[in-house]
Amino acid sequence: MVTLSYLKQEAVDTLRDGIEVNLEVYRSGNFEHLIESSVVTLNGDILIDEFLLNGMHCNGGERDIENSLLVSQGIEGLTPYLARDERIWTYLTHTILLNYTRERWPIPEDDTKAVSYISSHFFSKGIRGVMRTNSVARLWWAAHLSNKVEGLSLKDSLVALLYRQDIRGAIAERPTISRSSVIFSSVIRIMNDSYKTEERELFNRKVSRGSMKELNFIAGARLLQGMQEKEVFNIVKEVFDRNH
Amino acid sequence: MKFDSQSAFPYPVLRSDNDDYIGEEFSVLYEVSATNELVIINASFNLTCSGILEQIDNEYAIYGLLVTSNETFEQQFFESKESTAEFRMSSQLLRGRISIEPYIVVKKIIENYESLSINNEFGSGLFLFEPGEILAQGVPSSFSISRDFFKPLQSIVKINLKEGLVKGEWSIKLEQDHIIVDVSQHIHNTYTRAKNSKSGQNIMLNSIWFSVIVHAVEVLKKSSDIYGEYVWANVITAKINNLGVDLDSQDSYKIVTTLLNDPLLRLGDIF
Repeated sequence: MVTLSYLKQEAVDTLRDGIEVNLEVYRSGNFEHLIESSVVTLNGDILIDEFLLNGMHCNGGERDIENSLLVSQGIEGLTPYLARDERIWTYLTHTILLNYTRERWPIPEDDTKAVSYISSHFFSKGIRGVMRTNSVARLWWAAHLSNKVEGLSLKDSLVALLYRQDIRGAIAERPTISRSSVIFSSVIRIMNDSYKTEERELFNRKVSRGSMKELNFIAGARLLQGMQEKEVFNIVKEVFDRNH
Repeated sequence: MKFDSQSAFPYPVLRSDNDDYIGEEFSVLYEVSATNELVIINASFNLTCSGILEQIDNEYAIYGLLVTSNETFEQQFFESKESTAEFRMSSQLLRGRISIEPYIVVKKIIENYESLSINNEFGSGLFLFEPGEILAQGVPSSFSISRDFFKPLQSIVKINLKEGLVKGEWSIKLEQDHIIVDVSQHIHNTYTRAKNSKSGQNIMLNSIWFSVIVHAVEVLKKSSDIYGEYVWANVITAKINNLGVDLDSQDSYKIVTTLLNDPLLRLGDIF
């Protein structure tokens, strides 16, 4: 285990401005010489397990669930406060997780598309950056949210959250649902039950979108966060039942 | 739920900018204190409506605060039966602007609710409230969680070239937000060269930075009341607290060895 480091903001900005110049480095080189003097080690007890992180691969698929578990276990002690900092994720995607990022998000041959692609997956600007596009941050945040689900293992929660990209977007990026652990827990538990069935009906785009929309509407009129967990679960269950 | 003064409810909700209730008030006074470990919100709810107060007294409703950190997707609901309460949450779950929304929320079904203060427009009927519905909504407010914890200790120290100092001379000034280290031209040249390489940084960490932070900790031990308001003092104190170390129970050099993560070990790759 080694202490987690991050890049100085100046280095992050320089890398972002220089994507086009460094395209070949992104495709097949490494950034050691470019960032050597810009790496700062975090104080405190935030450790990374290089063995676990080096084990992140896609093997021809996406393997987001497996890799989310590895990120969750391989970065120890990272808090949500720090996990919103782009400097950490940019450091990881340009060092130890450079190869994973290339593998998960292969850089397009067209240079213009490549610049945009790299900007999305190697950096993490704003909420969309950490939740959806940065190759590592999105996995850490998926695990962080899934860890809040009561009564399910982390893996089962991740399966329900990450099984379909559009469902993940509909759940995780809808603030009413993703911020409240009691609502999020209920949704994931119900989705997990559906995942175990042959039909997996609740993963149908129409069903999930309709349910999230109705749930959002209900949460605008009642303070679900102030209710008992069982009551919220029943409300969420009724919503899904009505929509499929 | 998001505070929206324009939201229409099919039942009366006591709010500051509508007239569902006539002549009644629901407001909250807060005091928020934050360290790098904990945010403590002391809330004092002020409610004049006897009909709603009765529901709280009979445990059909509660005072509540919905605390939300958009940046970290964190939201916690705190509730109290009392009009004054203290709520605590970890600072590390929060970041940036944190919103606080006050409510009075129904916990058990309320049947046949009535209040003389309800606007006549609602008619003379009795009201039914389900759990989760709100009786009153206060004006939201917010506070911020700063990035100080994230700053490395080196960020609170500024190396300053001071003309007139002889070759090996340097001095530390603590009477401002950052620790200023005045150095001679000779030391400044060495420092400038050293900070451009990993090994140079590690040597600086074990020489000048270590000495400066030890001095700062020593001063804090003796007179934290004098320096306590400066940024550097807050950062060091917060980091020490975060490590669970008592400032008075260990020698300064041991505290700083912990704060800087055993810096001597970083010399292993150089020599």
